[in-house]
This record gives sequence, C-alpha cells and structure tokens, in this order.
Amino acid sequence: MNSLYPYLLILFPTLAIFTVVFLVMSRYRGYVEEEPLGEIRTISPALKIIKLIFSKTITSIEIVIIVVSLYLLTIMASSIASYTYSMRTIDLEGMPHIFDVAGVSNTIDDIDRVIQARYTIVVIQMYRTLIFNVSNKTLMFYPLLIGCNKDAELKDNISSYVKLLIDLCVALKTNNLIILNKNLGIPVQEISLPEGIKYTIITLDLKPLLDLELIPGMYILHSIGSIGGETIKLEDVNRIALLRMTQGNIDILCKGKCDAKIIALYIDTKKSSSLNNTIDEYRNIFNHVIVRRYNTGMVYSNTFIPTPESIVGLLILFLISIVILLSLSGGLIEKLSYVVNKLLNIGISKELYGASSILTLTIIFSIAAVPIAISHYVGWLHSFGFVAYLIMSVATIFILSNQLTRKLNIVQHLPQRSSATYIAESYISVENLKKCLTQLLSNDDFFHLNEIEVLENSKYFVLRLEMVYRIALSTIASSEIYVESYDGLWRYVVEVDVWSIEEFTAREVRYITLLALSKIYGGLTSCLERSS
Amino acid sequence: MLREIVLKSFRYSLSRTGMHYIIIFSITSYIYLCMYRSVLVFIVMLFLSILMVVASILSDRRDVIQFISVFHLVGARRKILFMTITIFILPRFFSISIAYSIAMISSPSMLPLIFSIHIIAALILSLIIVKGIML
Repeated sequence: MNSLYPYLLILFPTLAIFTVVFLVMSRYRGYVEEEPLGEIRTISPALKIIKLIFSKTITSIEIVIIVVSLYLLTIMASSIASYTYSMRTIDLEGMPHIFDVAGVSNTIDDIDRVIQARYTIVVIQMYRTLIFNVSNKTLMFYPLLIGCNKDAELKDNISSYVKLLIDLCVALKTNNLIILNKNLGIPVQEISLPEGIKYTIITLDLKPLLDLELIPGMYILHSIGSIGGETIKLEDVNRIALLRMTQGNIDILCKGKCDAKIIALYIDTKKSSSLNNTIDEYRNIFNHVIVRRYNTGMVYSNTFIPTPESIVGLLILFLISIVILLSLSGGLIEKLSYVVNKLLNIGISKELYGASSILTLTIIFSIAAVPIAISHYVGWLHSFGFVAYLIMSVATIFILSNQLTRKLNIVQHLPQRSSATYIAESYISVENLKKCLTQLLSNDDFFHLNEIEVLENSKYFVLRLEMVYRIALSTIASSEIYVESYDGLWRYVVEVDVWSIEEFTAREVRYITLLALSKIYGGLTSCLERSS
Repeated sequence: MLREIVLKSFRYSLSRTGMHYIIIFSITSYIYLCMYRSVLVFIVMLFLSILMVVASILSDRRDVIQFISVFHLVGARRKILFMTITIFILPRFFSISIAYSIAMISSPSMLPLIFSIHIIAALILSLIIVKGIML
C-alpha cells in the first residue's frame, strides 16, 4: 500500500488543478466583459478563437476523463517497466583462451571500482603520449599500465599469452620501472618523466603483444576505432611503454583528465559459482562485459533495452488508451462542432480551426505532463512511464485533431424522398387491395402495421399506411399509395416518409425508407399479380 | 411490461457502439491482468474500468438521451427510469467484471471486491444520469 502514496500524490494535485479550472471556466462562461471607454485594445482574432476552443475543450468532461485515464495508464506503464542488457553472441573459435570474463570500461574514473573487484589481470590503455628526449632524439610512447592479482591461481592449460602478461607484471616489481621493446635500441638506462621522477628502463620483447586480441577487433594494445570493419590499432611495438598499474603512475600519466580504456581479465580456476558472481559484478562496473564459454563469447553492453514483455505491456496500454479515446472523441467533437459551425459562418478558415485545435490539445497535454515530468525527476515514476505518457499523448493529440478537422469535410446529404411507380392493366378494387396489403404486412419482421386507411377523391384513391419500425424505439414509416387511371391503365405511385424521435444519421433514415418502400412495393405488386 | 422494458434496455445497451468499445477494453485488460499480477496494477485497472464505462456511456450519449426522452414521453416513473438506466449500464460492468474475474481466478478473495465495486459504480452512475448531471 505504501507504494501507492507517490501515485496518489501525482494524481490529486493535478485533479485539483483541473477541478479549479473547470469550475472557474464554467462560472465565467457566459460573462461579457465591458471595457472602459477610451481604452482600445487590439486582440488578435486568432487568439480569441484559440481561447474559445481552449475554454470549450478544457471544460468538457471528456478531456478530464482522457487526462485521468492517461495518468492511470502512465502509472501502470511505470510499474511494469523492466529492462535488460543488450547482448550478442560472437564466435571465438581459434582465439587464444586468455579470459573467462572480461570487462571493458571507456573511462579512467572506474579504476577504483575495478581494483576492488575480482580480476586476474588489468590493462589500462592511456591515450596521452609520453615524450622523452634521449640523446637529441624525441621519442614518443603510448603508455600501457598493467597490474596482476598476486593471489590468482592459474590453470595448467592456460594460454601462453596470459603467461606473457603475468611475466610482464612480475618484471615490473617496483613502481619506477618502465618496459620498452628490445629492438628499440635505446642507449640510456634511465629516463625522467616531465615531473622529474626517474624511471629505470627494462627492455623485453613486446612483439607478441601486437597481435593479442580479446575478441575479434579488440586488442590489448591501443586502438582508436574501426573503419569498414578493420580496427585501427597501434602497429609499431616500439611506441609502447609498459608501466606498473599503481595509483601514483595513473596520477602522473593522467594528470587532470585523460582518455583511457580499462580492460580487466578474469580467469576462473575453480569452475564454481564465483564465475556468475563475477559476471554480475562486472556488469555493474564496465561498459561492456564479455563472457567466454568454450568457443562462444557473449558480449553484454550496458545500454539498457526494454524487455519484450514490457513492450507488449506498453502496446496493450496504448490500445486501451485508443479505445478510451475513441469512445470519448465523439462527444467532444459534438461539443466543439457547435462552436465551430458558428465560427465557419463568420468566415474562419478550416486551416485556422485545425491549427488552433492542435495547439489547444498540445497545451492541455503539455500542462498535464508537468506532474509526470516532476515525479519522473524525483524518481517516483520510471522513465518508461514517462515515455509511455509521451507516446499516448502524441497519439491522442493526433487522433483527436484529425477527427476534429475531418468532421468538417463531411458534406451533409440532402434527405431523399423516395417513391416508386407501378403501372398495370388489371384493376383491383381498393378495398381488396387494402385487405391484401394488411394480410401481407401484418406479420412483417421489420415493421408493425399500425394503421391502414383509404381516402377517396373524385380523381383518385389514396391508401395511407402507417408502420412502426420494430427495431428502433420510436420510428414510423408513413406511406401513401396513389391510385389513378389513364385510359384503361392503372397507375400506382408509392411514396414513403420516415419520421422518428430518435436522431438517426442520414444513411440510417435512407435505409429504413428504402426498406419500407420495398416492403410496400413488393406487397402491392404481389397483390396485383394475385388478382390478375 | 416490466419484463419487456428490462429486455429492451438490455438489448439496446448491447447494440450500441459503446458496448463494442467495452468488449475490446475487457479483452485487452484481461490480457494485461494475466501478464502482470500486482496489487497496484489491479487497483489502477479497477479505476480505469469505471472511467471506461463512463467513457462508453458518453460515446452513446445521444442514444441515452433519446432513451430517457422516450421514457419521459410515455410517462415512465423515475423509479422505472432509474431501473432501466441501471440495466443499461450493468452489462458493460459485467463484461469487464467477468474478464477481471477470469484473470484473477487464482485469488478468489478479489472476486467479491470486483463485483461489488462495479455494481456500486453502476448504481451511482445511473443515479447521476437520471439526475441529468452527466449528460
């Protein structure tokens, strides 16, 4: 229940604001302001229209329900959010086995956490060059710091590369040692760094380091990226300066801030649950974690992606918001169309109306987004909820504004008066026709024959029928059949008129009219054919 | 007569567009409740279902107004009107309640809560409609 309080804190202030705006707007809806004489203010008519549409929209119950339901959906989206690391599998067949778990971090700031974690070997690639002047020659080096865990036990079948790295660690016994490549042929025994600290030079063969790859494309030596799938790495091993990984060396080489890449390698010796713990530990520290299982490697990156389940949840919420929106849009449009029709009469263009309705909706949903944004900032709402709100509100604005403007393009059809004429040679007396029609129409599925009467004139007969449409509540189809004679031919004209207390669309009225007409016309023809 | 009114308003409620929206809502919320079983989601869904029924009535606004005016024309009493409106609303709440109940079948203690909240909401809503506040 405690988890509910933050959500209530979001909902109540917003609802209170809406209620106050609602009440104020309703109170002053019909109020006409009398401006003092002599003071002429020019207000843009467009602004007035926007104000009018805004006040009409915000005081409607539909918009309040839409906003509240969006809040509820946002809370639900926030509560279901779950993320996962992005992961891909790579083939490591033929690659030397130099790690079980490897972590790669792109910033030097993580070094404290890396040192405290479980590791076998840590390599730091420094992207700031070291420049020495040795016997009038300027030499440039890329520093590579290396540190090993003394307690780490190693398996027998371990790769020779790991032994090489460990040997390098052993060679760097003290802080003031620097390893350079054997072939460099440096004539001095000692060099001093810019800070004046002297380093003793050891020369070893560093060539094997050149091809040491963790996974395809990722080297132990410095690399600066890749072009067309090819990694650009340091090709000259003579440019490498190996140092011991200590805080002092890091401070000297990386004064202030510098670009560096930390690579930590962990080799599991016990084949136990410690591997899984290490994976979890590494995931919290590094940007990328590579786990090797036999010949496959799994690369986890800390770019979070939502789980498929939460995406499905978001889609369902989206669907629910659309359903609520569609059921409410009709009423809102009806309320606005009353104002809009008047505006169109005084010469407002459809474009201006469309633009102002979009602006109004955008303003309303932006104001409603403020509590969501605040609670996201404070941490009550998950960012997933915020994203869900944005998606749903954009969809709402799009659908509502689309429907509001589309409604204007519908041309009203004029009511159609339907009639049918039948000309026959045979004559049937009007009384017989009345009986026949009563018999045919009395058991009809759609209409209940309410009344049938014969009216007589000196020129023609009129049969008047009144039928109640059974499916609706109060819809009546009244029709007249005019019977005239023309030189021995008989002309029957059927006319149908539908009357209803219900508000039907033109299409529905037309449908009922045609249905009634077909019933009466069919009855008439069958009666006439029966008599002949 | 009473039976006919009840049947007619029941059928009338089922045939309106608002009911179609309610059915879509019931199906989606059923899937949602099956996927995420938490108290927060359930409570929020209960609120949302009430809002959805209000929305569905507002979508059938014209029909409900005509329905009421027809009853006024034939001189129906307020009690009858209240009853018919309740019957008009109840199928909507029931379709949601059934969907929720199936989704929450593993925790039967929730079922009376779902039904009672929905029935109370239906009664309050019909009272509001009869008073003419909402429409």
